[in-house]
Amino acid sequence: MIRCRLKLYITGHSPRSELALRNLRQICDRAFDGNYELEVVDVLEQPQRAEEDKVIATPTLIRVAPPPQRRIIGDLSERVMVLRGLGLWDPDLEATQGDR
Amino acid sequence: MSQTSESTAASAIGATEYQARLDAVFSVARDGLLAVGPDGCILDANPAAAEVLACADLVGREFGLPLVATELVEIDLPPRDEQSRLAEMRVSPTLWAGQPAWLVALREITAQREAERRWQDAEAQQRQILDALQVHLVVVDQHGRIAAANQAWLNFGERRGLPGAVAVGQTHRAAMALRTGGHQADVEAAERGLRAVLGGQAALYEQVYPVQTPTGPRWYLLRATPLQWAAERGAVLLHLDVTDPRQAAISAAEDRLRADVQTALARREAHLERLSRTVPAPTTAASFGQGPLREELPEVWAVLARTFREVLLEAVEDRAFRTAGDRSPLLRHLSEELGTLRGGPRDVIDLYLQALRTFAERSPDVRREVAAEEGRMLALELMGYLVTYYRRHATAGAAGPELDERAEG
Repeated sequence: MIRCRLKLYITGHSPRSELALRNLRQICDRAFDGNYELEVVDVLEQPQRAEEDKVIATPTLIRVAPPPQRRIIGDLSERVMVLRGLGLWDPDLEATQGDR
Repeated sequence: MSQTSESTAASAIGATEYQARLDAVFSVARDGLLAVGPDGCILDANPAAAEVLACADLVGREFGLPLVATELVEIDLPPRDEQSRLAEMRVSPTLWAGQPAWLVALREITAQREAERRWQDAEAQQRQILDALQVHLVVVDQHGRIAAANQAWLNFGERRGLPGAVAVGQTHRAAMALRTGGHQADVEAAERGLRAVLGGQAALYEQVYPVQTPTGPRWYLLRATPLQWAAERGAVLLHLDVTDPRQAAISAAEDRLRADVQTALARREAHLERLSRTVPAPTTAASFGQGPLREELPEVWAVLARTFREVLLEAVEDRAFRTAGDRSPLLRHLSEELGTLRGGPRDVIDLYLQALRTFAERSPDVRREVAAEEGRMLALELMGYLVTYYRRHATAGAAGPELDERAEG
């Protein structure tokens, strides 16, 4: 069962974009045990998608599901900060998973 | 979100005054400033933010919850004229209209990053150029410590098995000690020269010094020139292998000397040749209607010439080995032969010239020069014996052997 669906807006393949994607995958792999969907949108290739979602700058990460939508922008390196920003932080689950 | 300090500040000066101050900062700040609510929506934005984000209508739009793990984070801005752009984002908790919010500061650093990239590219290019040079190059600081070095310099240390001795941070003096094999005079001279350049007393210092290598000595030119960067003073030091140019210069000098010697010898031989032609046929021979022996009796003359050449060879070797041989008996015998054949001064000069030509064909220049000097002395001695021969026969009233005897001899 998919626990969340995310959409990551990046700009091209800049080092910042690559780093954001790598960090996010590590966070999600650990937090959702692979049960998540991540769509990556390059605003250079799909500017209309960015326009539709009114993305102002990147990296912007949008929690598409579960609703309501939430978005964060900036540094995606800190796991707890990212999950809290997305409203997906679950201290109890963290405690059962331990520090793996 | 913790806005404790902001709440305290707002309480101290009053919420209205606090907001007034924030508004003032928004209006004058050159950085783009956003007030972002807890839901990620933009509460307010200054004109600079609209410029940075390329969006005139920011208020009410969803920016997203700004995340900055450390002091700042770099984010990508919407491209302008198809050029990617970049900004630094700083985030601070604040109160906006009395409610918790995030103050987001955006500073575009596209031009700065581009300048840095170009500088890094230029530096990398310069580094590649310096590393491609065979000359050993180092930059030292004002204390004579190596601040930078090219690959050729570092390779030298590695070849010597002591890469650490020439590495960045070491003194140039220590490196010189390694390069010169500890030759103190060269090390001290280089140090004095470097100090003069670093101290501003000299605009240039040059020193040639030898370096012993497994394939023999190599010669290096040390050239130190001042280098000023920021508030520091240092020096650029080149260690250029000048062995080949130096050898070429020595060879060129030797070639010039050799050419001078050859010219002098050729001039002297030409002079003697002219002299031999101007000297009339020997009186004794002329009286019998004879020409030079080399023309009249070439086979006999060849034997005499070989004898004279051997005598000359002995004289040259005696001089070379600093021995003293007695050649008088041979010369007397030769004078007897010449006298018997009615030989004269011209024949003596011919013998001398013939011997010199042999040396010219087979011997180095120095040996030729010695042969010219020794041959001249031998020719004079031979001439003296020949004169004695004729005097003896004149005193005795004898005219010497007849022509037909000479022909038979």
